[in-house]
Amino acid sequence: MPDLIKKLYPYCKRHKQSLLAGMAVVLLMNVFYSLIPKVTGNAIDTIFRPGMRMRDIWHYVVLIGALVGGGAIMQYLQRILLIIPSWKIQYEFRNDFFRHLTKLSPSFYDRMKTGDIISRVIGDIDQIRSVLGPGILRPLEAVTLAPIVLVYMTLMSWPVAIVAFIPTFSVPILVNIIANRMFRRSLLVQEHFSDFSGRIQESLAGVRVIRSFVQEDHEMEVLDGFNKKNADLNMDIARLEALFRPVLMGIYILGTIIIIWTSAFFVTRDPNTVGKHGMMSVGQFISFVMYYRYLFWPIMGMGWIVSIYQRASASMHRLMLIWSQVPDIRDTEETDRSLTSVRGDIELRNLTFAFPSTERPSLRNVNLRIPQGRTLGIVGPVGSGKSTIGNLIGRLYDPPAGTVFVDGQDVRRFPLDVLRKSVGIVFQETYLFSDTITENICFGLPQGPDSETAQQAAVAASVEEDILGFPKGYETILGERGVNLSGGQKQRVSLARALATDPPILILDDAFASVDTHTEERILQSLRRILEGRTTLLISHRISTVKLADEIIVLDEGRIVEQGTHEELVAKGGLYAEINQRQLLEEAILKEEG
Amino acid sequence: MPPHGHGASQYEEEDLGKVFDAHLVRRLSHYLKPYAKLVAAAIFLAILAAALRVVAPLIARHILDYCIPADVPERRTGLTRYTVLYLGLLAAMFANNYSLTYITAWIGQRGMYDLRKDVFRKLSSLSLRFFDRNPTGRLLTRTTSDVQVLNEFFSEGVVYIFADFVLLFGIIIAWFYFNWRLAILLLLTGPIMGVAAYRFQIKARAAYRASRVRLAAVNTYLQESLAGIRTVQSFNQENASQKKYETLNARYRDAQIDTVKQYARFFPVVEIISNLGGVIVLAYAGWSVVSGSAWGKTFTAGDIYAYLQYIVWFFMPIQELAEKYTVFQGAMASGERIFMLMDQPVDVPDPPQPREAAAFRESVELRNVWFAYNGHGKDTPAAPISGMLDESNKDSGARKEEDAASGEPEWVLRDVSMRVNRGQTVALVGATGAGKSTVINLISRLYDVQKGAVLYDGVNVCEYSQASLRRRMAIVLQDVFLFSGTIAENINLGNPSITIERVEQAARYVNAHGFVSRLPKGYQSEVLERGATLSTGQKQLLAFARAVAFDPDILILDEATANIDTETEALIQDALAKLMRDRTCIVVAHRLSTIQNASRIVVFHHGRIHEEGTHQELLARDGLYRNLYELQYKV
Repeated sequence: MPDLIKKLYPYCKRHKQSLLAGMAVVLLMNVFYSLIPKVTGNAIDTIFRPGMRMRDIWHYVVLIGALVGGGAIMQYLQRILLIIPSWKIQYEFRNDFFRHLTKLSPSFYDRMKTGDIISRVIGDIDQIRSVLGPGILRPLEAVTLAPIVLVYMTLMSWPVAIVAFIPTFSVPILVNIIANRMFRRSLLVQEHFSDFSGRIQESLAGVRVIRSFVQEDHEMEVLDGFNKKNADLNMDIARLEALFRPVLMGIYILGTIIIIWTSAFFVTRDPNTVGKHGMMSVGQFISFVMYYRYLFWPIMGMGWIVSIYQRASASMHRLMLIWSQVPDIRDTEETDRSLTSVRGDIELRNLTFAFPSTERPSLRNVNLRIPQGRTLGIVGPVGSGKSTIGNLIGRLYDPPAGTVFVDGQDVRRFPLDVLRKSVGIVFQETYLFSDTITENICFGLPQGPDSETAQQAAVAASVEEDILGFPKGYETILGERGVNLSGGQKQRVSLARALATDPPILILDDAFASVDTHTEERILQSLRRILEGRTTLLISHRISTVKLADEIIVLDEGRIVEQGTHEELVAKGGLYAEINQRQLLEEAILKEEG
Repeated sequence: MPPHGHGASQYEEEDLGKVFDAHLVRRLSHYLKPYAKLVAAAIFLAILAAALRVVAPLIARHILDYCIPADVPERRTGLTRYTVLYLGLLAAMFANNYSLTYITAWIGQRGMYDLRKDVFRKLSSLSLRFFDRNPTGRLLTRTTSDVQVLNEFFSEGVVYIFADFVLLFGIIIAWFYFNWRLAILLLLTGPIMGVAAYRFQIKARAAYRASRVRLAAVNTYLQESLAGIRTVQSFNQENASQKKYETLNARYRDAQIDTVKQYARFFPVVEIISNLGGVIVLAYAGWSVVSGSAWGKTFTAGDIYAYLQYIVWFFMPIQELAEKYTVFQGAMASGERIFMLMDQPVDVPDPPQPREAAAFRESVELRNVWFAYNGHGKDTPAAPISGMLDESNKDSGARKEEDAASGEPEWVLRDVSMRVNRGQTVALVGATGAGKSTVINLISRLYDVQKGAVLYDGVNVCEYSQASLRRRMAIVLQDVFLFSGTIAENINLGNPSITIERVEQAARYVNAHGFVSRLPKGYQSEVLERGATLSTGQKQLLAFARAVAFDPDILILDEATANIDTETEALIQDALAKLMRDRTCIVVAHRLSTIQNASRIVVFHHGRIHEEGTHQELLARDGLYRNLYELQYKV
């Protein structure tokens, strides 16, 4: 609860005017509406008064009309003034939360499942909004309406009023108990349902195994079990729900019956006794019953609102677990703001690095220098630590202090945006967004997409031909809703994306793995000119990618085991030469097949 | 990226559906049939509920008119009787409401359960060709949320709409019973409310749909940004993606604000209309008193009370009916998608009188087989297996498969004939995409061939029941698929006839027991995240154990190529040698040891059999095999 209020207060403050005006409107609305039963009661008494004329009735009709009109306008305004800000606050809250998420480093995302985060953003933030909308409106309604109505009822007949209040004020407690129980059960349903869909997904993805081992029946049984349990859990909720409405209705009607019965002793047709000893007129009795309805539902709602507050605090608690994470890679007091650009000298000194939450270091004591404008090739088997080097230079993970240097400065001293703007990385696992090709290629451009740059980059990455093959060319939308590119096309588009930003340091991490050697050769040819003057790291399992590099290192188990130019390494006859020999043969056979 | 152009639209997808489709409703009602008695009971309860509601104000009216005036004590005689009657009515209403809600919820849950079960059954009858074409996510939606939406149709839809109408008519009848002139006056408010509610529903629905679509866009973008967070950060695009998120988010906020405005307009209107009803009652009562009993009985206070109560109840069903409209629309759209799936033809069917595949005696044979993944089974009419469910194929670029599905088949196997005799081990070798793995898929009839035939003991595999055929074989695939569950469950696939002793025995046989017993809970250890914590080699060994536990006549193996640490590699080689020893084996081979142990080697090249023979024979021939051999094993 304190978290909830503390966190939401600044947001509410921003919408102070609207919220305060809304509160005034609610008060005014309740004044209008709460007069209607009273006027109706008076009208009824007038109707049955001897010598009544139709003109008297019209008088009341107009009065009620005016009250309803005024109330309706306030009712409209209350939603505009109170509910709309709640959506605006939710909007601001979501934005701030997203901003926080984009600042958290990859190691956070290694620890936490994306699905978990998303379900928090979706479900929990929504839960919090309901506190701001209905959570403000309903209690306000109850708080302003209840005193007015109570006063009226007491004035009309205090004995009946006392009798009527007893069931009414027990309701919110009951509602709260049921609402909380319902919430707990619905959590159970949600949990089970997510297991259920996980299981369905598995049986869809594993369909080959299931068919091959003739496990269809068994699978049906398993799914049937989930299906049944799902229905059962839902019925648990239905049982409560089935109770909830009738119980509320029952209490309401019971209250009405009590009022009617008690009124038999306190209603008089003699105008002279009205107002004495709690006696009321017939008209007042009818307005009393109307007031009871006015009172009952907002009071009942309070129980519900308390439950909403309880849920929202739980949601806020879950959000705070993420919100309180301090981004571990960020600008600190170490940061030197005078560093505004990068030339491209890279040096690694005694670099030993293990990913957070693992024990085995993926790099051990690596020493390396890549002068500005030179190209370094890195080869080695899977898991030898090749990709880690790129991640550390781009500071996606934090290297230990004093191990990774750019332009002679510890990378940790560069402002993060300066460093990242200067290091273009093409990852082995390409990630493209569901956007047009142009927007994807221009992703890193601060000034936004620009078709000329997109085209130049696409040509440089040898993917232009593919792009023009699509009916919509550069405006083709990628991803699930659009076109699915082949692995090779994806890699070339992400290469184009990196080239578009024109970075002084370029890291190609197995960027051609899904491209055949022939195409790779073509790309490398066209890249030649572009790589000139840039410091480049070519990380690959293929010799053909790295052989033109100025220098090549061979990594194994995180250590540099060989180092030199292609010719030197081949002559040396070690691991590099062995890999080279095998790949040459492979090529020869492919040619024969082709 | 700055928020410009069509920046947001590609994350949004509109779906519009019909509100009522007689054919669909008939098919859906089919699922209510088993519960016809309960549906009837619910309808009866709904009528009863309406009747009770209509009666309640009558009791109050009577008390008010005849029992209440405190200054006429002798008239108070009926008070107790009528109060007790009212309490009895309350109890009846309570019981009625409770059972009605419970029964309809039960019908909804059962209907959903049955429908989902049918969807599962349908999915388990469809061939792999179908699964190749339909992404898991889409099929998952069919079985989860689409079915969920129909819950409302099963439960609330039918019964509650009926209940709303009954209540409406009950109240109208009561009005007429009291005073037909006032009834007619009040009825005039009905259409006003109806029009207001209808217009509100249309606008609110559009706003609701917009907000749902836009929320989906916000969440899709969120999901994408988090999945691509590394890209976002390495390109220093945190701010740009923030801006884009804010744009999408603002669109969602605006849709919500729009919804709020719709509601803000509608509720005051409801208040005005229902107060209009009250005013009409007052005016009429006054008029009737002033003009004396010229037309029937004069209005009493009890009449006014009853009418004012009825007016409250009168507008409720009208509003609810307007809401149900939306429920129906959603149900129709989901129903349509589900039945589209249900109507998929079974493309690898069992014959009408299937043979049971007996224990393997002689041989498995491919005879002049032609096969393409994008073609259609030869017995199936050229029904569009793809098209139907591929509602998202809007763009046709780079969809070679889809284009090809309607055009020329891309042959993966061309006129392949080969025979594996009982007890033999045959190794299939060749470059990636040469057709080796396809042979495996065809022998167990995961796909049907287009031309030629696959024969098991001399009989076309199409004549056997698929289950009996596949029980004779076990397949170890390249990518080992592990289910969530324990190690033991992954070996016996939850099959209770394979005891834990058998599981352990199988694991020992293939050298998997060592690492399994080192796990914290041994065979009862949970496999986490599809086996992410196990090494590739360990997963291979588990797959071997699975195959051995099922004790097949024919073992089919697709060897994994991935790097495996030397220690596990030795265990795998040893296990493979044992596996192949006394069994008929068909192996897509990558290991030299496997190939050398084979009785025969078949070399595939571009979908054809290039050469065939023993290891020595093929080496001597100095052809493709020799090249392949040198490439992979001699460095």
